[in-house]
Amino acid sequence: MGRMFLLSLVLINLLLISCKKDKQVYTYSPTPYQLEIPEGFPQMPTNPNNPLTKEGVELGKRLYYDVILSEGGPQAGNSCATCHVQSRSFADNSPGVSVLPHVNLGWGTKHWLWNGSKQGTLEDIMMFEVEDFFQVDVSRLMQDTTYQRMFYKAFGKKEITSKEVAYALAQFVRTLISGNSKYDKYKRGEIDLTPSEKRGMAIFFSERGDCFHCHVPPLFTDFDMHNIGLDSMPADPEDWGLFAVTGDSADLGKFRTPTLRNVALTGPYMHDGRFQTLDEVIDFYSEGVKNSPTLDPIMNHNGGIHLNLTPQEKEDLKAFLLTLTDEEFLNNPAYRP
Amino acid sequence: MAKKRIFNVEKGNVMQVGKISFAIIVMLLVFSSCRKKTEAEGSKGALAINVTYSVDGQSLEFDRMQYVNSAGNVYSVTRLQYYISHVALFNKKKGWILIDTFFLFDARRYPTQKIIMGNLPLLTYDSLRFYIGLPPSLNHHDSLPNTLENQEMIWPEMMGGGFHFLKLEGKFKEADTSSTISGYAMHLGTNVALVTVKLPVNIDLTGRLVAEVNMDMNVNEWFRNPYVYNLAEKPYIMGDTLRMQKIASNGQDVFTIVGVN
Ligand code: HEC
Ligand code: HEC
Repeated sequence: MGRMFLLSLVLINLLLISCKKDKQVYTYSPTPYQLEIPEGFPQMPTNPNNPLTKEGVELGKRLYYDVILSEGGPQAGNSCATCHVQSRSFADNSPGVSVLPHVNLGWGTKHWLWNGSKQGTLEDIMMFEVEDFFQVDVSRLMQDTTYQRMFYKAFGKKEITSKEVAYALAQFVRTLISGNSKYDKYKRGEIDLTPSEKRGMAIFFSERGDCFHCHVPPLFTDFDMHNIGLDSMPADPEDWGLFAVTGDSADLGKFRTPTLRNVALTGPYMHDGRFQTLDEVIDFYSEGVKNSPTLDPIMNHNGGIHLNLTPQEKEDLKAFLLTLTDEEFLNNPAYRP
Repeated sequence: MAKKRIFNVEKGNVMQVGKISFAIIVMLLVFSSCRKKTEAEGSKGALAINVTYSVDGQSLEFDRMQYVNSAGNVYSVTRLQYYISHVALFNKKKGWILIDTFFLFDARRYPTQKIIMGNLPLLTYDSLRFYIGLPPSLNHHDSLPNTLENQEMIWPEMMGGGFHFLKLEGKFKEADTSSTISGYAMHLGTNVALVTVKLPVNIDLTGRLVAEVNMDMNVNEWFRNPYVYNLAEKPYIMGDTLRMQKIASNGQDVFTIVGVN
């Protein structure tokens, strides 16, 4: 009897210890993550349902680079980073529908995707990416002990759903902040721009080029929908833009303004990648804009829809766009797996 | 300076609340201490203004080519954003009582937008005055809170700096018979284009704490009086001082009071 009692004591103790160990591995006490907001940027809108934590950001980064998320399973070999490549400002240069870069997306609260078909917070668009675009099979993550632990540490939940996957990805993407380009350094008074860059800046920020009304600094986007006159009567539904979503003829050809941060690296340009180079984009704004009933009023600069820039002005404008490249962002080791 | 101002603007919310600035409270205190206190001066009231939009009696619908201005242009509205600031109420004895604040309006997002100003002496008032735009003291880049909404209204440094007072944009045809549809952008900015609006209205804050005023902007008034503005003459006026001033003059009577509760 005595021996049995001892044995059971030992057993209970062992059980307790193992439980304790178990508990230690699965503690949920996330560390708040402090974002560094660059000078001159507004505060990033936060999502009270998804406060940033070190654990959440770390998990989001791992997921971002992991082919386990692939639609059709890891053998399909796709992760977010397949198309959202850091050295290209988390876009890529493949032909077809242009990949939208992941830069400063934490400030987005209006329209998402080129045709504005999604609205809401970054968490909302991430839910779409996870559930609809990638159709992530969450059970694969549930079977992985490392992920079990990481999800518990980040969200305090043993049950992993697509919501936690989306929220972790959103946390990581919120940290992808670019605000240290040559332009930013100039704004902070640290360096000077060349005369050509300055002339380009004057075109950008005046009625001459009128770019700032939509590419609003410091994000260089307004996250809003505009028809800039790529087509007068778009035949291909891919070129319908917001009209394909709302069915309202007033929305024909409206697309979401892309950011111009790191624009040197995000070509080919426009929603369908129709322009290979920034020169082509500038030529378009200068003499290629097509009129239509839904062309954005801002494109009616001083009565004419063409800017008719001189070759020198085009060079200057391009030189200015190149100042928006942020080497620190493109090479930041914190964004790598 | 800007930080000392008491701003209480709820971002993204229909309701925006402003308060009398310190300076004015202090001024009021100084003034009232020189006189015998009346009962009313102890407590404070609030003024709410509901703003709606119309075009000569029809309520404004965005993106519809269905309006005709005094020049005969057929037009639509695609964007209507502006600031109201420097609201003041007139009391026969006290003169103008200034509520030092500003509000950003976006008619597309909020077809009816309500603003509330508190800390008002409980008196009767017979006029309301405000700017469409921002007073010079607020019209430079770092004077307003750094929000995306304010960033979008920035008037570039190269063009004089500050903020857009008004963005009124849309499409138009010169006349009903014209076939060409173009865009127009009536943008006002820089101190020369500040619009002062003054409206007679009886606001009685003696019997209660909150008065509510309903105010409507008739978009056609931007093109009517004193200058009949033909959009075809110049559809884009940013930086064109002469034309900005014309539109600013027209702006003085874009608002009418449609009700007081
Ligand atoms: C096969 C390439 C590809 C992969 C893989 C991919 N994306 Fe994308 N992503 C795109 C393209 C293309 C767009 C733009 C699509 C559009 O607007 O129609 C886009 C757009 C987005 C946007 C919208 C950005 C904006 O500014 O509106 C988000 C967010 C996003 N992707 C997140 C992700 C996440 C998270 C993953 C991994 C789960 C992922 N993407 C994987 C190609 C890809
Ligand atoms: C009326 C708003 C508006 C104005 C004004 C405007 N843009 Fe754009 N810009 C857009 C939109 C919207 C797109 C995406 C269009 C599409 O893909 O259909 C875009 C795309 C671009 C792109 C391609 C970016 C990419 O990653 O594909 C560049 C570069 C660009 N604009 C530069 C400029 C310059 C330079 C000016 C001034 C000469 C300017 N924009 C003026 C709204 C605007």
